[in-house]
Amino acid sequence: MRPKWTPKIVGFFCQWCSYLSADLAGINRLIYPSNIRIIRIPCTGRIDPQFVLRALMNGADGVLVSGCHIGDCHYSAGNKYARRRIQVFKDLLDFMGFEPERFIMTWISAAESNDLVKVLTSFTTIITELGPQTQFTLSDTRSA
Amino acid sequence: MKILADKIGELLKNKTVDAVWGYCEGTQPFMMTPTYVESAASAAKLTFNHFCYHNLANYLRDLPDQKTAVVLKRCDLAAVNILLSEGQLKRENLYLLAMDCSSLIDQDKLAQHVSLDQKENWMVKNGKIYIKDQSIELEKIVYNKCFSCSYQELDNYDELIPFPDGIKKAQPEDDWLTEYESKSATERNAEWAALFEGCIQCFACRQVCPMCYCRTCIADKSSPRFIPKTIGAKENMVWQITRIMHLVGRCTGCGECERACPMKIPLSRLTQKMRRVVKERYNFTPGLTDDAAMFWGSYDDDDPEDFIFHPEKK
Repeated sequence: MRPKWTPKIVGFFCQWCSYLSADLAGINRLIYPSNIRIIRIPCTGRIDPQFVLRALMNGADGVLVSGCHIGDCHYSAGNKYARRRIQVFKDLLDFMGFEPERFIMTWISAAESNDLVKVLTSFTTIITELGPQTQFTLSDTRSA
Repeated sequence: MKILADKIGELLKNKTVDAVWGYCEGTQPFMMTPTYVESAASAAKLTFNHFCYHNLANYLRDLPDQKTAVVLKRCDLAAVNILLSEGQLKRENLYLLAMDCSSLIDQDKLAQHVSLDQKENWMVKNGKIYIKDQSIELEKIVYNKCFSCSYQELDNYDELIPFPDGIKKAQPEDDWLTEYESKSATERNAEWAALFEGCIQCFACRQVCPMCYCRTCIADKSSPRFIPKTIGAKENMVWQITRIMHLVGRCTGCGECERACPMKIPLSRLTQKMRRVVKERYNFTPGLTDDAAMFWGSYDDDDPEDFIFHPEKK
């Protein structure tokens, strides 16, 4: 019997800010929904639309990209490139009929673990209401 | 078109250029074919008219190290500008013959008035085409992309050849976008999924685009595999989304991808939307000069960020 659906969220966290904020949340024993699978990337500037598409093809119901605030990037401007790239990518996905609420980007610095918890709780609620993602999910028998 | 053929003959005879890419009559009626000419004697067959669809910028990469002239429409000249600013072409090896063109005739639209199965005599004059026993106004049969040409003011050519009889006034772009954007996400998804059910991943859209020049395309990489090899609506959408993302800020809207698609997928809608996004959000038009900064390679401190998610404050 198939278990009841719960959202699967994939998070791409930059290793200098957001990943550390998740670490801090863990140290402080903050409670947040466990639907997220965190993937560490060196910087949000590393995000390629392929990462997001791959996650969606493999059944992710939501994708979150999180990085340093503008001006605080460890590599000076990585997040500025990401800002442009992800805005345009969102516009394209929206045009193709992909719900824009499923793919979000935030700036969360290493000390802002409370904000991280707020974002994750909020996002998980939104995805739960939206239901399973079917536009790009390939069937179970095929791999992306 | 005598003035063009004479000009090209002269360039070849004087050895100003060693070879020329242009258009000549082909085997199909109502479609000119690209051709490469190296001798002044062959220059006579080169011509230009309202059926010169191919984007000759696609043939300019990997030319021998000599001077090549090329006949260019406005959108093609913009494509050459992009290739120059990306370092794919050497300006000193090119002689740019820009046609002062302002419209191409859309075969599909013309076919609604006249059967195009056989060669017919035709003439364009005073804003109309005279063919068989009919005269049809150009505005009814001109390619959609030509109405909103952003490249009428380009001036970095070597020579401008006058080409009369097109539509000169700029018109607003087709309003399908406003109507489309009022549809819900589910409706849009369903529409595209139905269209991409037909895609066969032939990659004609990629081959015909001057800006798709990667030696190993992402679609050809198998380890890791990025673009699924299975043919299905979802996989095909992933391919097209990838291609469009790689072309944002570089696509000049020549429409060749849509014309090349054997399954008649309206790819120019996607490219048109992305050109609008780039123009409206970032005030950028690709291909205006041959030394502009690349769109993906730049950022601005004022780039919009209203899409950043902020959870509601409790």
